[in-house]
Amino acid sequence: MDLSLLMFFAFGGIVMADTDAAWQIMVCQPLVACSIAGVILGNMTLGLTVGLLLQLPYLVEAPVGGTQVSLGNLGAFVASGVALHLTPSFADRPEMILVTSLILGILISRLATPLSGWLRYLNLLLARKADHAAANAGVRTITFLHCVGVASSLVFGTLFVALLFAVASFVAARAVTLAPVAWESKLFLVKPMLLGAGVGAMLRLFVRKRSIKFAALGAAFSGLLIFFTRIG
Amino acid sequence: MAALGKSDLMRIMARSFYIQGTWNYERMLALGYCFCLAPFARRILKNDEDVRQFLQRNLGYFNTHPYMAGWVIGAALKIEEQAGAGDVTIQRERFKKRMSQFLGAIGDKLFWGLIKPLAALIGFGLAFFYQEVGVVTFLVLHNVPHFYTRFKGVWQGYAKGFDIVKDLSLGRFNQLADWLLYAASFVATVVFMFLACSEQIGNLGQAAAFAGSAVGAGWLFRRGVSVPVTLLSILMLSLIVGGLLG
Repeated sequence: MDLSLLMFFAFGGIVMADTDAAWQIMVCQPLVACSIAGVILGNMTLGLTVGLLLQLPYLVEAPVGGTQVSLGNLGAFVASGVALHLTPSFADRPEMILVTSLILGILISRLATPLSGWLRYLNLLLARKADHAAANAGVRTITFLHCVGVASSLVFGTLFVALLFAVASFVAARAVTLAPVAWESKLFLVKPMLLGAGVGAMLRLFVRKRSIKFAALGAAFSGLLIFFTRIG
Repeated sequence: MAALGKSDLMRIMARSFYIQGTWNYERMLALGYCFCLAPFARRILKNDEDVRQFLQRNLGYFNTHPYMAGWVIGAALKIEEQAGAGDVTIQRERFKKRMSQFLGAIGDKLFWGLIKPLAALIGFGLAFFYQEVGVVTFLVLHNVPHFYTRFKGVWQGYAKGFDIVKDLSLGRFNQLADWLLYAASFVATVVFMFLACSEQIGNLGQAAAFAGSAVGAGWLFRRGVSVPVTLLSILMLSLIVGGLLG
């Protein structure tokens, strides 16, 4: 197998771990993860495009308490991988590949949600084992059990990404092969509308009654800036 | 004299990056919390029986925001160090519960509700025009307050013990949250305007589709529709309209 694909899968483990189990330094976020996928698979611009399209909407779901949120990071990462992997093979249909990857990535973000539930169940088993270790004052055993939890997130993340990537690539390739080339020109609204959805999510999150003055100020400021830039 | 030195506190902070490693629905961060404290129990406590009690006590339910956990961890170690075994168990448990709830609520509001989306929005806006600059900006804007909070939490918690409650003021956190919200609503409209007028969005029809989907998505999110369903609906609509017009 291609070394770059192996690196992509390994980074999938980091995406999964950074989402939940460790660090949380946000390398899991679509904007970062998809760009890194682009660097690994040789087309950063395309990776960044997928990241830009899927970054903002998922931020309206905050992982507060025990809430089970969509696996947007994983979905976006797999989508970027599929787009990057298939684009060279379908050079005459780049938009179709991108849109198909995005659809599959969004579906994965919804359908793969139970995966995090399984990992949490595994963690519960580890916590119960830790009770026995505590009864024997086993400091090292507790440390080891916790490390197993972190490692399982990395390993399962890698495996999930590899599996989902294989399935999604197969489906995307079949779907694009079956679609007429003429459809390529009909996809011009996908990017603006997905970007709009992302910005709409942010406006929904931030613009409230008590902050509306600042939103209006932002609109006026940027309006003036755009006006003078255009005139200049 | 303090039992734990600077290098110990650094190690505790490093361990706190993995506090969510065994998150589960029954006891949430309990094992992660114990993982952060456990190696230092042997320094503070004298015999195996005390260590056993310490571990069992700290494997009970624990939930807070992962970035803010440092305050509870640092303070818990100080309290253990000062009290020895057994004599302040009730206050210790009450302190842990109240602090974790308070810090959890503040952390969720500040980090998940404001700092992360605001950093992502600024990063997104910059990445749209300047590519990797935006990616780096996002990481820096999010992680500077993140690392500062983890670092300060462990240090301040360990320095103050029980007294940490006097230093953590809800009013100050709320004031910070208000200013972040004002900044975020300003940035959100700036990004909206610049994107709508950008060359990448293209002609007037695409700009109208961009603005329309922003309003539509905002409305769907307000109605509680999930993100994947909203995105798929907008994507399908863009395909249908594009098919009719293209």
